[in-house]
Order: sequence, then C-alpha cells, then structure tokens
Amino acid sequence: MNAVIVGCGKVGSELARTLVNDGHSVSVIDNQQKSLDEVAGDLDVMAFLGNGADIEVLEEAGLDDADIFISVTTSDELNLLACLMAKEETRCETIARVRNPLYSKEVEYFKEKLGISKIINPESLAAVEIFNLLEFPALSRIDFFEDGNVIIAVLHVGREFRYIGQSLEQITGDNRGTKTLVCAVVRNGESIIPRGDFVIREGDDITIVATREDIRRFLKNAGVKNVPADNILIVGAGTISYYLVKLLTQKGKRVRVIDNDMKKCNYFSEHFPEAEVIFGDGTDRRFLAKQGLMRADAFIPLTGIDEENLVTATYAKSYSDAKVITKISRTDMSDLIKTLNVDSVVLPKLLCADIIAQYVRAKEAGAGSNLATLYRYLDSAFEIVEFKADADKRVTGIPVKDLKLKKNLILAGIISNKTYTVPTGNSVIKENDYVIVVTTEKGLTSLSGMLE
Amino acid sequence: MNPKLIGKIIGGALLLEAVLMLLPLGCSVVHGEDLKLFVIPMLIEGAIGGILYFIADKDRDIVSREGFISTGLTWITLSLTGMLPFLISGAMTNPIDAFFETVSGFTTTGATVLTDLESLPKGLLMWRSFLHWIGGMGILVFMSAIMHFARGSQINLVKAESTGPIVSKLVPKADSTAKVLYGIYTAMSVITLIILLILKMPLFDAICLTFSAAGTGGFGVLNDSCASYTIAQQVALNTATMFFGVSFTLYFLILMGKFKLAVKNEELRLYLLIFALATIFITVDLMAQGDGTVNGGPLMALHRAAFNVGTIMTTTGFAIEDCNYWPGFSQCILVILMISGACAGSTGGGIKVSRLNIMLKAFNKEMAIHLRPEQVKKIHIDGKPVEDSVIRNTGTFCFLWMFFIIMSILVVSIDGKEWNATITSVISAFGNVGPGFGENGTMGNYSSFSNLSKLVLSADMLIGRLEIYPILAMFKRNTWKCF
Repeated sequence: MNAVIVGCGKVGSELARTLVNDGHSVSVIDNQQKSLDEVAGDLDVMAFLGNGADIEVLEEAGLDDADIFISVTTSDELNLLACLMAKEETRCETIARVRNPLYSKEVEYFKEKLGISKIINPESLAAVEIFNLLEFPALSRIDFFEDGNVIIAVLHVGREFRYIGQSLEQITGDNRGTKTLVCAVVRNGESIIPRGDFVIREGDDITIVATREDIRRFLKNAGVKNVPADNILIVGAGTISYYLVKLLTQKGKRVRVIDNDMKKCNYFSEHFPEAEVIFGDGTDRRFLAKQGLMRADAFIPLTGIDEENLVTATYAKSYSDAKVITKISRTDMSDLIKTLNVDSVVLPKLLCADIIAQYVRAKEAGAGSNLATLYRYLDSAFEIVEFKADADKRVTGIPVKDLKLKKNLILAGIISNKTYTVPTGNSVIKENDYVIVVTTEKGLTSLSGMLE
Repeated sequence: MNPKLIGKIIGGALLLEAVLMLLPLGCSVVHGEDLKLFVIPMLIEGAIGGILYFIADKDRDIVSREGFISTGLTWITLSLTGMLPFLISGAMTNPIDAFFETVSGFTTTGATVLTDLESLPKGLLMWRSFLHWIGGMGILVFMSAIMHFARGSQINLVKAESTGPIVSKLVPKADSTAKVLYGIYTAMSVITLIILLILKMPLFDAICLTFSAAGTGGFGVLNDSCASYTIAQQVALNTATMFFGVSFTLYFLILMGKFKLAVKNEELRLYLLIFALATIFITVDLMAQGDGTVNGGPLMALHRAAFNVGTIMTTTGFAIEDCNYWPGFSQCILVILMISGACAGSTGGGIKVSRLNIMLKAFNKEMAIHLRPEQVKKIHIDGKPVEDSVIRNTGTFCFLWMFFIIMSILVVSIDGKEWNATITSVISAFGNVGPGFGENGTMGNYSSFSNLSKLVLSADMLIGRLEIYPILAMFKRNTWKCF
C-alpha cells in the first residue's frame, strides 16, 4: 500500500520504519530538513519538505495514489486539517493524532462528521495501559480483545511462581475449570510457541490468553500476588497523567499527583477535585518520602523528562514495595528497558506507531478479510491475531484436532456468542465465531492461512 | 565499514556483468565469430562473483560510506573484468589500452585507442557499445532494481552512482525507483532503435549506436564514427542523445501527467538555451569564417553545428567531421560545452547544467550580499529554496572538478603533446565526452598517448562519471577503518 505520513518526529519515524518493514511504500512530509534527512538516510522512504496541510506538498508526496494518510505532527489542529484535506482530495483512509484532552471528547464527532477514519491519542492509550496494569499489578503487560472481556497478559516468571519446573500440561491440569492458556513464551530473547510438554523456568516471559476473571484465579493458583493498587502516587501533571487520573478517580482510587508547576497543579485541582494535588519537586527523594511513597501501592513517574522518570522509578523500586510504572518518550532504547529495575514501562510513541501499523495491516488484508484485532509485541516475534470466522469449509465445522495447523502457530481461543473457550481437540469453529491465533508467522491475513 | 557487504555488492555486480555478456556473445554466435572472447570472461566473472556473492552477509544496512566505497570498487572491478574480451580477441595487447577502452565504455566517455574498428569482431564492437548502455544509467542502479542485497538502505548505492547535486527518489522505494529509471531508459532506447531502423540503418549499427546514444557514450562501429550515415540518421542520433541528456526525473513527471512541472524545470530550460545559443554562434561562425570545409550552404552549417553541439554537450562524442579544421571560436565553444555538460540525473556527464544553475544563482546571491551585507537571501531552484549545504557542496564540487583537471593536465603534459591535445584530452575524459582537439580530435584517437597518460585519463573518466567522491573516498585512510 502507499502511505503518506505527515510529521517525522519519534512517532512518525517509528511508524515509517514499521510500515517500510511491512513492505509498504512510504512518503514522509516534515517541515524540518534535518528530521527528513535522518529518516530518509535510514529508511527506504521518500521525503518531502513542507507543511502537511499544503496541498501542493501533499500532491507532490503522492497523495493521489495514497491508500492511507497519517498525520502525527505535534499539532492536533494541523493533523486534523491535513486529514480533512487528504480525505477531500482522495477519499483515502485517514488517521490523525489528536492529544489535547479538550478534543478527546470529540473523537466520535471527528470520525462521523468529519470522516476521519481513526483518531489516535497516544497519551490516552498510555494512560489506559497504565490503568490496566494497576488493576493487575502482577502483569508486565496487558491487552484486551475487542469485547474487553478476553485479555492477553504477559507475566514475568519470578521466584514466587509456583509452576516453575512444571510442564504446561501440569499447569493446565492445576487450573482445570478456569479458562486460561499459556500460548507464547519468550526465553532469553527467543520467542517460542510452547507445546504441552514445555517446562516453565524462572525468568521466562509467558503470554496468557484468558478472561478477565480467570486470570485472577490463575495468578492466585500460581502463588503470584495480585492486589489491585488503591493508593497511587503520580509525579508530573501532564497529558498522560490527566487521562490516567481521570480513569483512576472514576474508579474511586486514592490518587496523589505531584508537580512543580503551580499552573498545572491548579489545572488538575480544578478538573479532579477527588485527587490530591501536591505542589513540589517530585524527583526529590525526601519530598517523595514525605508524600507517602513508602505506603503507596503504586508509584508512577510521568514527567516530561525520560531521565527523571527512570531515576525516580529506580529509586522507588529500591526503597519501596510499590508497583513502579513509568513512561519513556524516546523510542531508540526500547530494548534496554527490560534490563532496568522497573516493573513496567509504557512507551506511548511506540504504542502509537504500533497501533497505526496494526490498523494498516487490517486494512491491507482488505474488505474480504475478517481480521478483527492484531497485537504485535515489539520485544518478541509473536503476533496475536483475532479473526472472525466465515463460512470457509476448510476451517469451520471440523474438530480442531483434525485441522492441519502450521507448526509455528497455536489456536489460543474461540469466542462464541461472547463466551471464551480454550480450544481442545474436540472444539469446533463455527461461522461468526472469533478465533484467536498466536503465531510467529508475520502477516497472517485470513483464518485459512493458519492451515498447512 | 563492512567488507562482507561490499564483497556481496561487487560479487552481485560481477554476476550481472557475466549475464550481460550474453548479449555480445549472442552477437558473436550470429556472426559466427570466436566465442571464447566472452565465454572465458563470463566464467571468470561467474566464479569470482559467485564466491563473493554467496559468502557475504545478508540483511545489512548500507551507510553512505559503504555506498561510496562499493560503488568505486565495483566500477574498477567491472572495468578490469570487462576488458578481458579486448585482450582475448587480440585486438589489444597492452592491458592498459584495454583498461582505458573499457573504462571509457563504462563511463560513457567514448574515447578510444583503437585505430581500425571495422576489422574487429562484431561481438566485440557490440560489447564496446553495450558498456555505454550499462554505465549510462549505472550498474548498481540496475542491481538495485533486480536484487535485494541490503535492508532498506539500498538507496545509498543508487545515490553514490547517480549524478547531480541532489539525488532524490522518484517513488518511495529504492528498488521501485531503480525499476522506473531502467524502465524509462529501456523504453527510450527501444524507441531510438526503432527510429534508426525506420531510417534504414543496418540492424547491427542501429543496435550499437542506440546503446552509445542512450548512454551518451559515443563509441561507433565505423572508422569514421557517424560521418557516412545519412543526414536523417545523424539528426535522429543527435536528437536521441539530446533526449538522453535530460534528467530522467522529468520523463517520470511527464509519465505521471505532471507535464507543466516538467516543462517549467529550470535545468531543462537552461539546457535548451545553451544548446540553442551554442548552435547559433557556431553556425554563424562557420558561415562567416568559410574555412574551406563549409559546403552545402547555411542549412548544412546549421546541421553540423547542431550535431556537434548536441553530441558534445550531452558528452556523447559522435563525429561527422574533423573539427580540428573548425575556426577557433567554434572550437572554444565546444570545449566550454564539454565542461558544462548535460542535465543532472541523465546519462550525460560534465559538471551538469543544474550545478551551473545553482552556481550562477549563488553568484548572484553573493553579489547581492556584498552590496548590502545585512541582506538575508536564499536561492531558489524551480521555485523551491535551496539549502545552503547544497550550495556549499556544489561549490566544492566545481572546485574539485577544476583542480583534478589542472593536476591531470600537468601529468599528461609529460607526453610533450601540443597544448590543445593535452588540455582537451583531460577535459574530455573528465567530462566523459570522448573526443578533444588535436590528435585525439573527433576523427582521431588516444593511441599515441603514453601508458601513464592513459592511466591518468582512465582515472579521470571514473572520477568524472562517479562525480569525484566514490573514487576519492577509497584513498582516504579513515574510510577503511572499521570504526
């Protein structure tokens, strides 16, 4: 497909990288030659200098032949304007990054009235991710399928994990009655699709597909402590904090937000009367101790500076029992994050690039495809794909044990009438079921593609 | 620096050269000539190329340093293997002659050391002209179009091999860009061939001259170059070279239906303006001087002027007469055209009209700033502001061009030839033109030059074709360090 990306910052260039690697033709537009030179020197893209809402520049960049138009500049208004123009010119798919909380209420309006295909808000996405992690502090990553009941959870196997040294069959036996399935393992950087005789070791990162309730039971059986965080300390009153505090206060959590900018403190105090807003330096360890770091269930540094976030996060991890989650803006060091002593790190920019790439993939699969959701993890080779089953006789109506599935693939779940079941040999995929497939094969676009 | 990746690129290029030799081989088969001319080189290229290609790493990024180095090395390696048919055929005994001839072919110069072409095997003559065609658009561009040897960054190779101050893609993907370029190139070559055939040129001549014209090279197949072809054929050839001297980006724009953008291109306008002015001046000069070779009246003078201006400014170097008998003013115009050259992004050589355009505008800017030092002024090309770094690069490039020419003239002058031969041989080699004035004139050749001069001229051709940096980079010690 032909993609045009406006804005060549961290998100734009990361997105360009993903799309180029997926084999798309990408043109990038930015108003700074330096950013363009960096991207064009690095990636197989065509670069254009200019404003993303300048029709001449857009046409030069090949808008006429574009299948998808993505605007991710720092300006919400420019992104919206550029998408509107692109939409008007070519009727292609348009995606705009819109971050301002004020506009975030208007997402439906943008989509329905203005015809923009997708509004992406990395800050809000990051906030949702942090919020979910606070619900399941034991997990290092959590994602939801479309209906919100079935989740994909990534768990780092620590010493307290009771199933260390046991095979997956034993684990399944122990969890009979719960709907959980360990479907992928990353061990020493290698991505493995495990079979029944696979033995779990300490230090593995295991991916589990389960329902929301059953993951709790699984964790309990496994001896992993998973108490949702109630007292939450946040440093930095920025955009992510805004969305996060909103979610948390709605849930009735106790939230304390520290910022050293009085204006921001006032702003938060106006918007969130339920939250405690503290004016002060959230990177000062004595000050943090005074604000109850030692008694907090979760500590979340979200300042605008990556280094500050990391330093305070490491400090909190060493001196308190709180679940520590932080965010990092820069994208180039993402592989190092695992080596840090922090529970979870959220990368809003990568998240944003990834979600757009998923959207493009689903679109590329075309109208005939029934790809519903796609998750890709940057630190592993897996793709988790959700398909809606059509009347394909090769797949539907046949017991799973009789399907000749590819080796690098596992059937992780069948959702039939909103009920999730872990597939066994006798399970049958029916038309209109949702099927979850975990695979190391890239670019699966249809359900029949999982057959040999 | 990644020696394995460079090995892979050179290996791939050698394999490609072996495949490309099938064409002259076929020609030899048709004419019942000795086949070992091409079979032996093909085996050698296949063996070395195969080893280099298959031991090397896959999936590596090419940074611009590796782009330069592998381009320089590839061109030298291919010249060394491409010269084998000349040696095996016995047409040449001196390896330096064969190297000179092959470099002259690849760089689309068209300077020759051969004195009697008509006695050579047809296959060899076709190989000579085919070298022009391959070198014109670039062998690595061709490779980028058909092979994947590096992750995403193949554009750095295309960039190192393409000409002009700013090399940009036509479409987002490097391999598609290379495909588009070669597609246009091939299509235009086929059209040229068909026109020549319609004008009743013999098939063999038509094919070889199409290659020479497309690459703006200038190798002919007859001893008198193009003098014995009909006027119509000469005009057709010259028109073709003029077309190949235009940036291929413009043809792409026209294909995309952006006709207006193509026509408004400043470089194209300047290119045509230079052509028109030079032609008019020379026609008038030829008429006025009436030096005994003028025959056929004003129209013939116009034809001779246009043919020579076209063939020299596109740096092709076909000949229809001996310009050594021309008046000095006309000769001087031709020498200036050798320097200015054709358009950037074409198959032609020289400094390139777009650089001339940039430098003239930069001059205008400097002038304005001298008069009003507080003034802030950007220069624009095709209505777009040009980065200062581009102006700086262009200035340095033009200086280096002159610097290498002057230094080479110094070395070539050891031969003790006349001034005009010494100077024009170097300018002609550096601009990838071919003929000069004196014994290396339009009807002459380079056989009387010493081995040293031939080597220097070969180096000049390579440096000129690859626009200085890829060859020079090899002589900088830092380039070879792994850090």
